[in-house]
Amino acid sequence: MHAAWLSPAEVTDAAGRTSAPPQSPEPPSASPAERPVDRPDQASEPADADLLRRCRDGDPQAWDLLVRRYQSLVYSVALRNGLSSVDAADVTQTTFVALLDSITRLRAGERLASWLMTVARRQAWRVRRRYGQEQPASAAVADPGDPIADWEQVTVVHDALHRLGTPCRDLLVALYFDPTTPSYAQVAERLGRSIGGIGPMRARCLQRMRALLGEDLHP
Amino acid sequence: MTADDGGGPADGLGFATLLDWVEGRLDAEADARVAAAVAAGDARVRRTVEWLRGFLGTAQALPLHPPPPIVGQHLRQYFARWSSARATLHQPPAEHTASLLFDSRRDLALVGLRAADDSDDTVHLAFSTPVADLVLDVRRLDAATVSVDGQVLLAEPGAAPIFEASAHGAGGTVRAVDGDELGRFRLPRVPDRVTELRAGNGEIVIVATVDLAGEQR
Repeated sequence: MHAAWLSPAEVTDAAGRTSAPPQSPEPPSASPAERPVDRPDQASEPADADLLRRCRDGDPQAWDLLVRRYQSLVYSVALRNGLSSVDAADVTQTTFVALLDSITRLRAGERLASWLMTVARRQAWRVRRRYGQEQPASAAVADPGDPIADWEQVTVVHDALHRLGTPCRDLLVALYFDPTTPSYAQVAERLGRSIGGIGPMRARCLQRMRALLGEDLHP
Repeated sequence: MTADDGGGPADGLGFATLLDWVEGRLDAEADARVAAAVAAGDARVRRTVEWLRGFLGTAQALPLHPPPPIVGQHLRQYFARWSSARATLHQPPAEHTASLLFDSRRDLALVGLRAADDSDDTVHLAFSTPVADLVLDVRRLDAATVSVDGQVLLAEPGAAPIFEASAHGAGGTVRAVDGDELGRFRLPRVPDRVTELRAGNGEIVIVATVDLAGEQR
């Protein structure tokens, strides 16, 4: 277990204040905040490749899990490309249908996040182009230009985020990608962890992200 | 300022502290101290701060909104249809072994009749299965070869009407894919020693054991 256990190096509360850690020795598995973060939780977190294989075999639970894992990402790419929520929902469905159509051709080790993001982006462009053709210029969806300036960096980050696995992915998504910007208390409740563990855990998870991504990430 | 994360550098500007500073989570005094240290910091500190700002900026570029629940429901339904269609696709057509109902060489002779035209040596065969009947007209071309004109008469009118046929035996297979919408097909040259004729429409295959040689053997 060695380095896999959280060390209470820093404690940050819901208001963002950081304080010294408690000095008492850590029990081996006292609270959810002390669960390992250095590797994905394999028991509850099948890898994408495993889910794809099970989907090919017709397993509806694997499909549900895959959809739940990526639907927000796909939907958000469509929204970010200027679509309404209705059109973004359609693009989300079309993108997952494209995944099923390609499921036997996807290479082993395919980075599914960026694959889905790229398909969703193209689908969103198609919808925008269709609107441009069908509607007068004044009524057409406004062209947002390139809404994501560094697409490559965004896709690389999302691929790494999914390679990170649980619990780190869930924590980083809650803290940094949730548009409702939940407090530490809300995140702790959502993830079933102690509030005191959220701050140090996020730092460790970001360090793991950095290890996956390398130094090449620019503001 | 807090103690730095485990194994952090001696200047106290470890990853966790720099993260707190970038996120504005330090109190004013600690914030000013880290700001000064960062300004005077080395390449390692600058790289860490740049990386953190890069990550936070990337996260802000694409916040993750959940789609409406109907999307998940539609996708579950679509998957059920998709996997069901795949299961059907991988199902082989059902085979039906046909039983011989009529052989003109045998049955007309039994009642003392021959074909109206003695010069017509066409052999008529009729087979039956629960799902379709199969009729064959066999004409001799030479000592070892016949032609076969066939027709499948389906019991269910909604079934796929076009059939492909193949004759097996005599060391090979002869196929015909020119079936029409009336269930007719033609095998223009078939060795008369073939022993089996199969006619399939993708849903069913009718398998008939045939004797095309008759008296020639």
